[in-house]
Amino acid sequence: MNQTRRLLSLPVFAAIMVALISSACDKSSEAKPEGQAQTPFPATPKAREAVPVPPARNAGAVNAPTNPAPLSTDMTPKEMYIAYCGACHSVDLVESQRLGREDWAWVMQDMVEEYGGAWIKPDEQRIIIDYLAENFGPN
Amino acid sequence: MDKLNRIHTSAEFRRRLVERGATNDDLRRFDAFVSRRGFLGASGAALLSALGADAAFEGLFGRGLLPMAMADAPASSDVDGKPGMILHVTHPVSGEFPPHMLDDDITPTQRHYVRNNGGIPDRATSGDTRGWQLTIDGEVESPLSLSFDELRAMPSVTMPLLIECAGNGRAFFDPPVRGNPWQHGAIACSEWTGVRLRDLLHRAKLKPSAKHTAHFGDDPPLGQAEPFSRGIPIDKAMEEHTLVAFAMNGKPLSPLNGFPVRLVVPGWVGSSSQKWLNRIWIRDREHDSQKMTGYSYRIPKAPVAPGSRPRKEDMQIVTSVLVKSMITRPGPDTISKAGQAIDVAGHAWAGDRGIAKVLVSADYGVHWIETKLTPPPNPYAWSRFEARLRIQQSGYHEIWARAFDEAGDAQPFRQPWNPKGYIGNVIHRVPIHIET
Ligand code: HEC
Repeated sequence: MNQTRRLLSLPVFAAIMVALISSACDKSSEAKPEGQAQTPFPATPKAREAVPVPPARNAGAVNAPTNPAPLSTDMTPKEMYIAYCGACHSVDLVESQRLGREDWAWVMQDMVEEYGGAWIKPDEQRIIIDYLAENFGPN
Repeated sequence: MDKLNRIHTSAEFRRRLVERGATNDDLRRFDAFVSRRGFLGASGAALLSALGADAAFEGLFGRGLLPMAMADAPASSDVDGKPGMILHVTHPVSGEFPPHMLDDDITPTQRHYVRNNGGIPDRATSGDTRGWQLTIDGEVESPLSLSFDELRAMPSVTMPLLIECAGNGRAFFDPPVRGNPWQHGAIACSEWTGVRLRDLLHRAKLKPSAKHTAHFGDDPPLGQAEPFSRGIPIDKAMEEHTLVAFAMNGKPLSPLNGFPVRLVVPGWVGSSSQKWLNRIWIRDREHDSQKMTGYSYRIPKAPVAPGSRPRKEDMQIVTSVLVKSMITRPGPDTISKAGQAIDVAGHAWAGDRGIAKVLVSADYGVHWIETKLTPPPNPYAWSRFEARLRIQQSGYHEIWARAFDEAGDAQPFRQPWNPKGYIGNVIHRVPIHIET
């Protein structure tokens, strides 16, 4: 992110990069680390088809004031974030960001008001903003 | 080494990081990295051998370098036709190439960056031009509708032209801003073949009320977003290098770069160059779509303090990109010998303006040397600069490049800040290591 920090690097840094990058081809069957929940748009190049809405909701439910069986009750903040924020685009778009709470709230406002995320209820928005500010902050 | 060889899985690797005192943030980056790359298996051991020793491992973590490596290295993608692309977003696809892969004067199609706002139209993936039409309507006397063959039958021109994403360099904004964290590579200068937009506008006969264009394409938007649409003032539309392009480097456009037809509005932020083009609506006012208003593609009219957000009324649209240069040779972290010749090369450009000179420095800007400048084949292609440097002292050094445009503006040493990270042009710095 920060060029000055990046430029502190040493030759061994390049060696690490080479090792990391070349090892990416090596897909063995080991257990995945935690944090790899399935997203509606997983990070694969094929994910470009229809735009889904989160589970238990459908396009007709957009803006519906009453929505039966709130999705959020049995979800952790992380699960909620992945299900909601991965609905229209892949979550790598979100995870590449390093933003303070105010900026995350601004992003949320745009998703809700401009792009069709109006089904994300205010209390759910708060939970997700808190999660993002905590996990994808500036530092 | 035996001990190291047992560390095969990412889970074990992660456990070692914890043991070594990695912070939660380090671990989060590690997890993100691992989930992007499908880490690691047997080569976990190779990774640790590369690190050499536990001491190096610890030392790197102490300085936060390993996590930076992870953060700075988005997955190389296997997106069709773009091998080696640094992928920022999988859907909608957005990716760039590192400067050392962009050395060619004419950027190969394979290495032209991709910035998509929505899906890829079916027509682009099927490669079928049947049924495609370009409509020109609005403030014109005789609205037009052209098929692909009719467009291609018109007089066309071929030339290398620059397209740079408005957000190129966003990763260097401090504090960080929202949007794709482009580093240096959301820029390309491919050779485009197309009909001059002004020839089409002449055919449609602009009314005196014509002020601005509004562009539309076939790409399906995400969610309930408005279909992606931007526009340019009529003067820029009538400029002779503004093309309705149907070929890229002598071939049909690639699906990701706008097949079958796109605008090329060279020197202006890339979003002006609508991909998968199907309509140009001539308007009697500045186009007012979602991506022309609010904070989209807008910067403060007067500079603001980093981190602050001006009111919408105090924002203005971005047009031309700013003076900038990129070192394409040597690549980052090369190793050279003291006193040995180092050939430095790269590109410089300044949107609507020409480049006057490019200077390079190997000592943090204390001394500068002038480079040999090869002028571009047209005002909207980039210039090549070249210089030969010798660094006498061993150790860590950086090569810097600084371009000056014909109006006397030069690249800044620190990135001026705006809320969405547009038209960044801070000088490019490339690390190099000198051995005795
Ligand atoms: C209803 C669809 C939808 C949902 C749900 C959604 N987004 Fe978005 N998001 C969009 C669209 C559309 C864009 C703009 C795409 C473009 O033009 O490149 C976008 C862009 C972004 C960006 C890019 C940066 C920027 O400045 O706009 C970020 C970050 C982002 N979304 C975060 C989120 C987060 C966090 C969530 C979950 C709260 C979320 N999105 C949910 C539709 C959505």
